[in-house]
Amino acid sequence: MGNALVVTSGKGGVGKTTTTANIGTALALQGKRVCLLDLDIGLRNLDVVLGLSNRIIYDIVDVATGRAKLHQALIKDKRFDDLLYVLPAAQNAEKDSLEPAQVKDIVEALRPEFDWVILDSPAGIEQGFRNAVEGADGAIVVTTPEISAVSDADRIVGLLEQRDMVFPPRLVINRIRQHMMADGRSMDIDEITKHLGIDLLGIIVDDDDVIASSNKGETVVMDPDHLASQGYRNIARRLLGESVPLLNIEQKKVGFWARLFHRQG
Amino acid sequence: MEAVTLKGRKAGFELQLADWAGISELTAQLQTLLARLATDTPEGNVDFMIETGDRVLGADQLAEVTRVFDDFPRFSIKSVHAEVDHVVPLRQRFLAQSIHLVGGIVRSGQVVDCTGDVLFVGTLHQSATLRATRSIFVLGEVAGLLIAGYTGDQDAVIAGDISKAGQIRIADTVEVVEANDYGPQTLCYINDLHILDHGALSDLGKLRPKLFRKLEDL
Repeated sequence: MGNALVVTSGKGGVGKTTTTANIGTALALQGKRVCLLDLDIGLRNLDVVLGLSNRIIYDIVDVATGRAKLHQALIKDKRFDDLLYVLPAAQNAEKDSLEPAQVKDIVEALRPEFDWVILDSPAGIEQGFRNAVEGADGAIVVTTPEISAVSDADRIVGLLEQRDMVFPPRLVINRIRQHMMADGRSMDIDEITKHLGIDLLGIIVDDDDVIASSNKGETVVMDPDHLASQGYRNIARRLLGESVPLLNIEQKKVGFWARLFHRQG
Repeated sequence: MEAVTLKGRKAGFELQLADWAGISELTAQLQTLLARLATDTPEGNVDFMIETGDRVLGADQLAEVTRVFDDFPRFSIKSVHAEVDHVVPLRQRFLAQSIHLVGGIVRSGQVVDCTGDVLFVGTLHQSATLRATRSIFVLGEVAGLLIAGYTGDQDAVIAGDISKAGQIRIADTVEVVEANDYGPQTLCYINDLHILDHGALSDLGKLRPKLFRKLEDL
């Protein structure tokens, strides 16, 4: 039976969907069977990030209401053989079209077939959030080093702790800007982790290529050379139980000649 | 020894049901007593207060006692009282007089309510709330909202390091904590002008002698 994790944050725009797509892809690269569920009803975009939009026929609301069978709605990402699937959200349905019990039933139906079921939660703490956490054994709380995101993450952790899940929530700090942390203009990793009081699952540096690759319908994790990609790969390995040291994000100093010739040293 | 005794009080007639007697013995004696009273006083209605001593009559026992009165339409029960406290109010009273140790992380949006005084040793995050019916003593980190005496106790105080708190309230007074030079031993209280004021913790004995004595007794 597979594990079910919800990726959540409270605040919008911190990178929940990107994190879901990249962690899912990283787990698939490790040979695990993964199913990603988009629960952002009305504003689906997990399929967009993975470049699978054109292949949607049925969605999660169709499955929940019995209009389609689960295997009809699942979209296979052919780049990963039989390892990565997406169950897309509905685009033309009300936000409250799904009930937590329906999501739980879908997750339970997916567990025997997949090693990991990852639920992409919408922003906020309303029905969509409740749907997403209902079927999950644990949560990945995504935040950025902004105070508003950390504050919302704090609220989310409080709500998750009340639910008494199988695994305690774990933290991913996304969009880290090394230079801002280095000169003290943003909260650093230790401060955020200590403030939220939950285990750190991983860190992802701010990288233009994350946006660029997602615009192409690809996940940055597929390119192992990027620092962001390494961050996602490390998270996947930690989820699989490996002990992986935290990514070294110290910026390399660029020498005079390298700067002169626009090359990094 | 009589199990049922009739007493005349300022508030009216009182029937004392001995707590050592069984319920059958009580009802038998009550029947005899009421019959005699009915004969002695042929006219007028009488309400009785029933006092059950150190025993609380259960619903069945009370029904048996009430049934005795059914035979005497002129007599009725005005009230039933026992010298026994119920567990719930007793616990509430005990809680109200205790100092509670509150630890852990109180997160954004969470509200922790306490009856009585609180010694806070945890972390109160921004937008989190700690409320106490009496005083709050801070040993932990506070960045959220502290409310002392939230049911209206104006003698409540907030003491400790509140320099990073978002807001403090005592009863119906409010202070938004902004840039400040509050030390780790700040005492917040409502002064004689009903204004939320600040002093040093060493003034607690003078400002709130009752509370100070209570702390000394601990």
